[in-house]
Amino acid sequence: MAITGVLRPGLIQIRVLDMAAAITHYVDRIGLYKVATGDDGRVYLKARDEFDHHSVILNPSDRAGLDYVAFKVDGDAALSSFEKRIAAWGLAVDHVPAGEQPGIGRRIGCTIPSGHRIELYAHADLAEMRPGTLNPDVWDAEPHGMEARRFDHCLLYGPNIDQVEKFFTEALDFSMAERVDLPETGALAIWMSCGMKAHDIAFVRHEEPGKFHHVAFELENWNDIGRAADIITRYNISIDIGPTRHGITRGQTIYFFDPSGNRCETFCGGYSFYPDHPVRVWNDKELGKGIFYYERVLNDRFLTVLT
Amino acid sequence: MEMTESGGLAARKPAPPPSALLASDAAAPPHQIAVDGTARTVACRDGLSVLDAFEQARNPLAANGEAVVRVGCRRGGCGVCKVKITEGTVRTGPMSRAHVTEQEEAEGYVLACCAYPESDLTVASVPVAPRKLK
Ligand SMILES: [Fe+2]
Repeated sequence: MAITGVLRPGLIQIRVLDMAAAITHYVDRIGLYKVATGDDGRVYLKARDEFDHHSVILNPSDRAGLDYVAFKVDGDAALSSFEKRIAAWGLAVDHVPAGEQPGIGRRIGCTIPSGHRIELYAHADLAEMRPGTLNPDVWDAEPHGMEARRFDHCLLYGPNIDQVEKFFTEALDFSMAERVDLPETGALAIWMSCGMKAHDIAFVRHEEPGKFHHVAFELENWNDIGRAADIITRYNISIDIGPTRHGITRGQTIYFFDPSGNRCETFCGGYSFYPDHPVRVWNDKELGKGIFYYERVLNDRFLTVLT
Repeated sequence: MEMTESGGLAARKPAPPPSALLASDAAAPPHQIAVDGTARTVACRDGLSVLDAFEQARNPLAANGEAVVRVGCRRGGCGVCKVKITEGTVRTGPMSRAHVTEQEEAEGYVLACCAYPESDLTVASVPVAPRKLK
């Protein structure tokens, strides 16, 4: 299968209350690497299996939450084409010039009907520290912390998720992999893919716009989830739930909070998705199993605590 | 490329275990936290936040059957553990201004996870965000 158009979620900018604590969390604990610090105080991080300049941006702020998530597209022509398609779909598009942050080319942005800012970009400089390409070792810099391999996806909460689904499928060519439908009120949650992952972005219906549920980092296997759990307890990181597995996406997972209260996930697994697959649907009868396959009950903190 | 902010191998130097917090002041008597409108009092040892104390006391319920202090992110971001300090003094860490404005802070509102008692306290429960997914 050829992945064209939108390639993957490539950048996520998260607001943090205490930068030093945030760096300890994302670098020493989750296992990312610090790439640069901007003049405005933003700190740029990357995971060890990523080729691009950076993927996670920590923005010092007096409130926690998400600034934006940005998807990388396959070239500048695609970027221009998506700009026209987003405008034709009915959203105002703005421009962020190259140089607004290190290593990333021009970006376009829009606010989607859930209240979140979504951006697209085509260019990232190659990172100095990146996977080898000639007779490559499994890693160059020795992995540390939870050994996160990549920024993988995020889950966002906001209103109008029917519109959000239409936007991602109609304007950006995403496919719906999985959804939660309630008999009375319709779609409660949607998992959408732009490639072969079970999801690249997910949304849950929620009154308040622009809310952030979690950012997820991929680990290699289930043993690494156990090791992540060891690190979470050893360093008194605020735990949410896990290790466990989702019925939805089948990912094996653990959830915890950063020092500003933003939820993080480290996970592995999940099924492979092809765009010709039928949508998998969960209803109210088995939703507990859908969310937490082992516990089989819903958890109010996991479902309603947001930044 | 810096390997880590705190510097590669140095980053793996052991930090004090969380239990050090609990053991450090065995001699100091815990502060008592009373909850407005209930008969419940929760002990809070030095170094623990108001929310830690409630979690350790298995989060006592108020008369309406709901937890007096709801446990969320425990790190000042989500706002669900908001309470009002009606008596006593606390020291606070960074709290998201999305949930406690400067004026509210001046009036005694805090996020329980970011409030460390400096005396015995009385706190009042503050209902915030919905507790169930709708
Ligand atoms: Fe996730």
